Amino acid sequence: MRTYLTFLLRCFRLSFVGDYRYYAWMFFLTVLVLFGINAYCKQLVYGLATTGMTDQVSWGFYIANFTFLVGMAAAAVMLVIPVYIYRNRELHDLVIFGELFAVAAIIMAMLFVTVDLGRPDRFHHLLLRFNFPVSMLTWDVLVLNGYLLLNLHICGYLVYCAYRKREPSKYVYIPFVFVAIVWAISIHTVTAFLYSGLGGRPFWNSAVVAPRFLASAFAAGPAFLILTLSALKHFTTYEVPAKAFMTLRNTVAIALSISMFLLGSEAFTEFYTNSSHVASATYLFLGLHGRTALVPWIWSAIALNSLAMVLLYLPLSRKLPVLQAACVMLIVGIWIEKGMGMIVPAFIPTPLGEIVEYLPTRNEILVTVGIWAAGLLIYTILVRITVPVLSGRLTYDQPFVAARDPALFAPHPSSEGVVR
Amino acid sequence: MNQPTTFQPATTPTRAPGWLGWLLPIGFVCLAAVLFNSSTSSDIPLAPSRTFDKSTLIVGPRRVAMQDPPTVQIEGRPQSCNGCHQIFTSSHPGGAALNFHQDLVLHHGLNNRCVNCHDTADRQKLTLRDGATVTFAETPQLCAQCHGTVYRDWQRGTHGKTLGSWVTESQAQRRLSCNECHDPHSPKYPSYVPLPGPNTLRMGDQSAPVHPEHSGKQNPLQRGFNKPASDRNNKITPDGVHP
Amino acid sequence: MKDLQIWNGPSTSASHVEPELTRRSFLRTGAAAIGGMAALAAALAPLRELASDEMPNLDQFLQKHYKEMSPAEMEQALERIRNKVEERYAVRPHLRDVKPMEGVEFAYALNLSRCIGCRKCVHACVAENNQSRSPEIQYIRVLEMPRGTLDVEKGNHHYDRPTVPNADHFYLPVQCHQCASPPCVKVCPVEATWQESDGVTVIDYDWCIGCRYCEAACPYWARRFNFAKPNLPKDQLNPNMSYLSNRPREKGVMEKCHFCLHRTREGRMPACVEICPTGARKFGNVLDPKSEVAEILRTKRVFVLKEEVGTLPRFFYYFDERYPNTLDPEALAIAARLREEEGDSYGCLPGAAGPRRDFIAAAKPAWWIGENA
Repeated sequence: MRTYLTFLLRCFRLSFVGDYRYYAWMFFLTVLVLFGINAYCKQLVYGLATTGMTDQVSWGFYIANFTFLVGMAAAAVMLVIPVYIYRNRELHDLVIFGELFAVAAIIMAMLFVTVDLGRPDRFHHLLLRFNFPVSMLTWDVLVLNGYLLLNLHICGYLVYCAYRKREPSKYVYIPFVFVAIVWAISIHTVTAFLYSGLGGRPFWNSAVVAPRFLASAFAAGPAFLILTLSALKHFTTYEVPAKAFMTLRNTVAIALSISMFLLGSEAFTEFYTNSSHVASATYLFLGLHGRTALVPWIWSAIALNSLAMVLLYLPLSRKLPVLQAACVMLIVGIWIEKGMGMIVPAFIPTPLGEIVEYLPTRNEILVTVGIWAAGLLIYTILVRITVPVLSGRLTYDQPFVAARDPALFAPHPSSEGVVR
Repeated sequence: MNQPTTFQPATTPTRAPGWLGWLLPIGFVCLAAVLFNSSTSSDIPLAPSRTFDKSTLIVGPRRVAMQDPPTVQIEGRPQSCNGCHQIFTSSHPGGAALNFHQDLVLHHGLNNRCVNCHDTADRQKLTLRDGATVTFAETPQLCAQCHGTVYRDWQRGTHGKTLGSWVTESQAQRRLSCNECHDPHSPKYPSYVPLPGPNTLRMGDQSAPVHPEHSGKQNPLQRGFNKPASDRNNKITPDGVHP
Repeated sequence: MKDLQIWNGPSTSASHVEPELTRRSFLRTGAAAIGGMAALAAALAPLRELASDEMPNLDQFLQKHYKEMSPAEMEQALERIRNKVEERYAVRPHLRDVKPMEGVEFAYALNLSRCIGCRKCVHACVAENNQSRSPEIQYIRVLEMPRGTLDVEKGNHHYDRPTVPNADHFYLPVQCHQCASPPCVKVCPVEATWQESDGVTVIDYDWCIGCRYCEAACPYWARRFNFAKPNLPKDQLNPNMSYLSNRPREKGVMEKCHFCLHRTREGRMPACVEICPTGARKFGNVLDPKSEVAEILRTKRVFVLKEEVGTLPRFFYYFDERYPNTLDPEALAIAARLREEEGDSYGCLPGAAGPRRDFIAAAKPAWWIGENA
């Protein structure tokens, strides 16, 4: 127990150690977080009218980001499957970074839901009267918290074992890994069911919502992992094998293709039938009654996704810079398509046919950026801790200073660099 | 699982100047100043709350039905109908229009005679088509002669207005009679000036009317309604516009 | 400069030497920490603006769900609300918890041939139910629909004519239908909304967490959210309130039409029914076969909106006869001809022709099947 507390204390100290680039990055994120807190305090005082939401469009930027991030969290499993099911040893070390990313993404998603609530001071009502299993939101609460705990357990256990220089016991974490694979699929399916079960919103009331969510998540998540691993490769001495990038690239390419196909399928069903249900899709893609605010967004998203897909299939994207560019493009594209392009059009027109458009306000954007910065802050700290531990620099039997060694991540002479 | 991960050789870090370390606290203090001074206003586009004449929301019958026995106001005093009509004849040989009752406008479908409804012998009664009379309190029976379907609906409660209570046959429930809504001489229900429409948060400019797209496909049912609404639809009706 | 070993560290190995804690580095670290705290405090500064009655309150925190409150706890909650209303509006309200009547299930019928689109129902509801005026909350929305369609997308919510009704349109008012299979009740994660035995779907305003899932789920756009602190002028407060209906709400909670249950559970009519000048709105107990709504459901061809969604609304619409008399060109022409023929003696007693003329025979409209057909 004492060792564990020391470990936690050392983790805390370690997050304040770094070179000037690290400090610049963390300061930048902290500034954004503080602006976000400030904007959220204003929202607490004046109510959700500080956002751009209205009775007509009652879910907006916050829920859009929530949906996107739940998908990203689910996609950590895309690294777990090749390693644990297909026994791809080389990627083994990287599973932790995927799961740490899932932790950060889930925390961000839960923060987004919290800032969207009108009465966050009544959070405890969820514990007292829980409309399970009828309300899909209750399912979402359960699966998101469960997923967070699962990943914290797996990562925490593996990292702590490396810190203690112990071989991790298979029985303590392998079963949870397999549960996490299924659970990851379920978190995004439950989130999709939140939307697809509503008969009053024909834009959402389609069976293709859940598959679309999963496909786009499994494209954007690994893409984000590619970017994270590139950052690791660039800023630390941790070597990321090229095979990791290529496996992820293949995953992203296939998932993106499925996602684009499902988008096409949705568009065909809506526009060919041309019933009154097509109103929301018309608003999104073509504009409705002269209101076209979302049209440039969705077409940019489609353009970005298409370009990214083409790039990913070309051998050109075997080069890391091109791969990174494709990943950035498709993350932005999927963020638009799944976030604003999925949430907002369902409210336009309203069930009574009224058209009121939505645009996030400055306050809303500040809160959103603040939460993203908080998530990146958490992820940076988690990585900042994990890399020295896994590389053997920070173990229970060494003084703390070893972790603060110059060059940051150089291998310790006495360590074999054993990584689980 | 036991493969060691290799590391790239360590690179020599560049030395940063010493004063760089003070940027952090300075940065925080500047940030504190900025945040503290940032506007605390809400920036919410709240429209001022509208008030309008509450007298338009008074509950009650639209008009006061003629009581039984009926009276008219002549020079500020109520007079019974027979008071004049049993003394004076009401014929107007080739003459002008009515000398009295000039506030009345008869605009009741094909009815063009007062005596279609009013009894010639006793002006305090109303006459049915077979010559029988009813009192002014039984006005609905007169209306029922021509408006049988409406009368049937009115008896059931599906036409007309009920005030007071939804509890059937309770003391508080009151069904309004025909002429508490309809002026028997010009029974067409008057037009109203509509109260203000919605003005919700951020609803944007709704002044432009919603035009259905003319894409070549037109609903056959709408063919006859393509002409824009003409003035006749909004003309002030003979008995005025009700506020 | 040794004090910067934290950032850069020595370039030689000497990895086991603890870097020196110099005064400068201590000051720098301390300054950074204090600066950080100051920035955090400044970030939290807007919370100063919270009104005193919006601060977290232990009583409110511990208040139970409506269905779990004992009568004593309910009275305590009511007293708290009465005090709050008195403090804010300088009026002591008549606030109580009205229970449903036995053997009653409400239904609502609306005659679309009679609605003239005057919007008195909208504003009577607002006058009765203490909604926020700015931002504006109205439970009822009246649509001006072109004839021949029930596609609400073709409706106009913002009609602003000099007079209504307009002959080419009909008027469709929509409010909460108190559905028998309510999607809003299904999705609420905390059971803050439920349907009571008399059919009214109610909201416990002190339980709602403001997630707005119910607003997304409603197919009729019937639910409203308090995006800001409700702004209700003091002189427009209706002091006749009940816990589940029209007591003033706070920011961050949902509200909607509740069939004026503080009135209807005591036998009165909802405000919208009472104000409707044409009697287009009918309300009553559908279990009572002699009630108006039961008659309507039996005899009129009623329908509901969006039946295919399966919500089973208890709000029924119907059309019956409509009398556009003055617009009937046939009648207009006949009346004009008669007036022309009668001249000055129009409306007067007939002469020798007798006390009454057979006006139908005189008029000989086209549909008269007689000898001159």
